[in-house]
Amino acid sequence: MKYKFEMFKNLKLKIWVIGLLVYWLIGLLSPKAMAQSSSNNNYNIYEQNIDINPQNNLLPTPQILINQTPTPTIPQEPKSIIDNSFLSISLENDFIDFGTLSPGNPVTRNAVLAVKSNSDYQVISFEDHPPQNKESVIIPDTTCEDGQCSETTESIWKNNLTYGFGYRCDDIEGSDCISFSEGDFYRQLADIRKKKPKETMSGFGDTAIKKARLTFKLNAPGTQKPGNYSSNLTFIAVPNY
Amino acid sequence: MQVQNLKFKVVYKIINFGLLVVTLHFALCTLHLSKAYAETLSLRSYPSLIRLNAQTPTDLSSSLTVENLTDSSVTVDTQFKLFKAGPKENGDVEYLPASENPNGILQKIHLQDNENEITGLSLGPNQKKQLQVKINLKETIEPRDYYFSIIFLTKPKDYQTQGNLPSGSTSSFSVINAGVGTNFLISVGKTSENLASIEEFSSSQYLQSGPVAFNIKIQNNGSNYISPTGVIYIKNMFGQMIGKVELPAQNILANSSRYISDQTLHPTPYTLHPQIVWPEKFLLGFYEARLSLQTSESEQPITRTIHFFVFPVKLIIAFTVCLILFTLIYRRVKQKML
Repeated sequence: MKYKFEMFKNLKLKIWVIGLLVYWLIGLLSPKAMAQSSSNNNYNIYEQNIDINPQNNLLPTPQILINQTPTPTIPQEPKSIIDNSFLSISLENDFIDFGTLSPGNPVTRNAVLAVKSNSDYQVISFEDHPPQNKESVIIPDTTCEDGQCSETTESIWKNNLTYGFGYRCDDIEGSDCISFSEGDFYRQLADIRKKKPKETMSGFGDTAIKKARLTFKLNAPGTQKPGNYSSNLTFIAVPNY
Repeated sequence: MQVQNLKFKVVYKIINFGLLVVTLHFALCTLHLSKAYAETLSLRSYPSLIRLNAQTPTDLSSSLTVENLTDSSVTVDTQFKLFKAGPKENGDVEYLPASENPNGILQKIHLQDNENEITGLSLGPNQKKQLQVKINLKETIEPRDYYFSIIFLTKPKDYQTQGNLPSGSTSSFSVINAGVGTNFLISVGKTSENLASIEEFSSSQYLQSGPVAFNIKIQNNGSNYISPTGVIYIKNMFGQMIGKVELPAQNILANSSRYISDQTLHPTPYTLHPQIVWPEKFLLGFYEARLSLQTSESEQPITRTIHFFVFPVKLIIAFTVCLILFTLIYRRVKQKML
């Protein structure tokens, strides 16, 4: 009986070892995931009637026409260079519903922004105005707890008695969000009436999808007139030149 | 009976283990997959960059494509925005205020869909449209460069009136608009005069090992954008050419500077600027790196030379310690044998 038990114990051990080996082999023999390489330096050059067309176009190449009016005095050197780069922007949610605001109860809502490009890019952002009701009463952009945060500077906003509207950007895929410290650090969105758009993301053209979670936080002070406050937020993906 | 029981137990254990292995495998293969998000807006435009050089008077025409990548319709507005080189000097753009419109260039740009001028367009589900960009330069205008983006921006929806919010609702909300742009670099009356200079060519003066990262910043003092090409030649202390790094051609706008970078190389948090990297790993001694930059076919290349020293201190220490230990052990063994 003892012998059988020993045999069974050894068998159990063998099964575990064989099983682990099989599992390891499954992993070892799984096909490798290869990233597709691409380059944005393959230009299609159209020079008058000369057409040099790269063989492996990533996308259909748009045509370019140059209607040059020849003049005898000015030397004509029309030259156009188009690259095969592309840029796309996607948004998971374009409507952020903060619900009915209750003073001292901050509301945070998320949206997911994704960018795909084979050339370097940046995403710039701005708001048409801070959240505003029909009588043009606004909930101002937050200055965070220390009164220091702006559209270029982040600062902590944890206290429920700190009011205003702010946002933060967290990477989901890639690392293209502008720098935000972990936790409750927020910035203002640039008010386009007074400020230039500001960068929210920037990255390299490696064709991988870059995803970021945008968190918007809104907290109205007790003195705020009840009502619905709204704003338009804009995120534009712009290629580098 | 007992043997049968044992066999049954073994088979049972094998099946159990097999199931565990399969479950683990699937779990490990699928746990890392990211969540799938339903997209409400998705726009793509291409190409991202169009460069045009022309002499006036002329009409320039180019095409670009905008695509709706979702299963629902979208309405987009189009905007033309002039830009200059951005503050990061890596090819980023900084838009100029609408008041800055040299020679009224923005009024000379027209976007057409089937010969009809448009200021916006509607795209059906997964629809793409090829649009014509016409730039009317029939009048002689000041020879200079013009840099602008055409931006396709989703039209803000009026949620209050579209019924998404009930009338009299006290809900507060924000609507997010997304846009995508294509850049145009236009040189009107481009001169052959190039006033480029190497503003910075540097690397760490002392390294323990390769790869070697170079900071290269090119200044363009001319009135037209340039796309210089360049090579870094690396020589060892015996004067032998041991390395060559070709710089990718990147555009440098008029009166601006730009860091040249290898686009396949992502800067680490420890690098301040985009860099060019010589990937050689094992290096020892003094090296000379000469940057040769060609701004145009007709001009002489601009060069600058720097030196750096590579000495693998850690490796040498480890090697010396090993050598000492080996010698000591060898002597002990030899003494004992005697």
